[in-house]
Amino acid sequence: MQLRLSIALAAVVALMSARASADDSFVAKTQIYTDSDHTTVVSPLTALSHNAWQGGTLSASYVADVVSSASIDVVSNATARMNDFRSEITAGLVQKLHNTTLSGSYVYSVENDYQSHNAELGFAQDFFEKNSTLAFGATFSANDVYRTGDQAFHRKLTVGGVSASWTQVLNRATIMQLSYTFSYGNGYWASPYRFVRVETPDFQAIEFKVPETEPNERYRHAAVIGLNRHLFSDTALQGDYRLYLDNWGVQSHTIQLRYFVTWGDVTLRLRERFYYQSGASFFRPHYTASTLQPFVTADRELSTFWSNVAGFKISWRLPWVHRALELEAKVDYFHFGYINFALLASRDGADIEAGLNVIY
Amino acid sequence: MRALFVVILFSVVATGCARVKPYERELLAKPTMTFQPDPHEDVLDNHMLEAREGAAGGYGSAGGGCGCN
Repeated sequence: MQLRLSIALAAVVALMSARASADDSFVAKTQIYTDSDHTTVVSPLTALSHNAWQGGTLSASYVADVVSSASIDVVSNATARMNDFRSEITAGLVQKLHNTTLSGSYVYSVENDYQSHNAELGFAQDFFEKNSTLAFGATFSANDVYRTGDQAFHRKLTVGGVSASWTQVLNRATIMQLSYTFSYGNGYWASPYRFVRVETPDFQAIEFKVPETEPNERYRHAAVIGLNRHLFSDTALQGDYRLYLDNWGVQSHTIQLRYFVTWGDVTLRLRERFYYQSGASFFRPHYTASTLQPFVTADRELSTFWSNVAGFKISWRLPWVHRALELEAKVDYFHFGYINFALLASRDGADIEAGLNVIY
Repeated sequence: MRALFVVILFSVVATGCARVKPYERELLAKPTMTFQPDPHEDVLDNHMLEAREGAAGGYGSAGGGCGCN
């Protein structure tokens, strides 16, 4: 499977490199995620973009996740450490036709116990001398879930979604965007490795464990309002707020601010992101035999918690190398505070990234 | 239908307030004024966040896979 992926990627790269034209680009970056819950994920990414014909851009990318984890999720299920490798390949096409932009992409992701096919289509139309843009999108994802060491285990998860956004120039220095996405998923959402502890009434001992079970259907709504404002000199401020709701009872609020300062060829970005969610209606910090319900979960992502991300990114553009070479480095520090997850109170960590972008 | 009407009404009102000509968009054309200045970074970020939060959507693609670790 890995060999086939590599051959497919090499073919796409060769095809796109055959004839470079204006504003073709190559991106390579690596992100390292590490946290206090003993999880490390190294994610190298490489991407190519090629202007193939008038208004048409082809793109391809490859991402890998090299995972090593002894998180509370892993060790609470009697496994010392898990290692995993995920490959993801993306192919995309964007076609600009005067005031209309059409786009399509396909993403294939595979790991030893999970496989997914994703397709996206997009349509955007500019209005009022490009002061306004209305965009629509549709996504479809088909996933196959397996369990390592259990040949008989196979579940499916299918997700479809639609989105709409409105981007509006408010004045010479301000632009706003409203967007909404809806998705509907049906299938297996739980983890095949996660078991829920059923405890004694005083929570002092574990009586037995049951497999995690979650509803098959999930309706998800997300609405975002964003505002970009150019400030004094070469600085800009971006802010956005997201409201998220689903039929499992999860409700979340996300606020993000990004501040950009540019000095010549160097741009510094400061970032602050705050997130809060209420837990799913069937999530309990403790389950007992007398209170067992049809759906039970030990997933901390379905508990009530908040998180904060703060960090910086520096980009340095070297216009004398090729047509332009840009180097970048990023550090984001994060903290998760779990309010009603019994096995873990908090998680701290960092996302560190380095990369380059060549326009040739 | 009502939502569509609100969107159209909003757009008409908003564009009526200030229509910026192409030659007045020097500031708006800067890379820092785009909503997705680095879409590849967003893919990595969104994938990481959606694997660790209950919420998803609204910020573009997060790729595939379960991200369950």
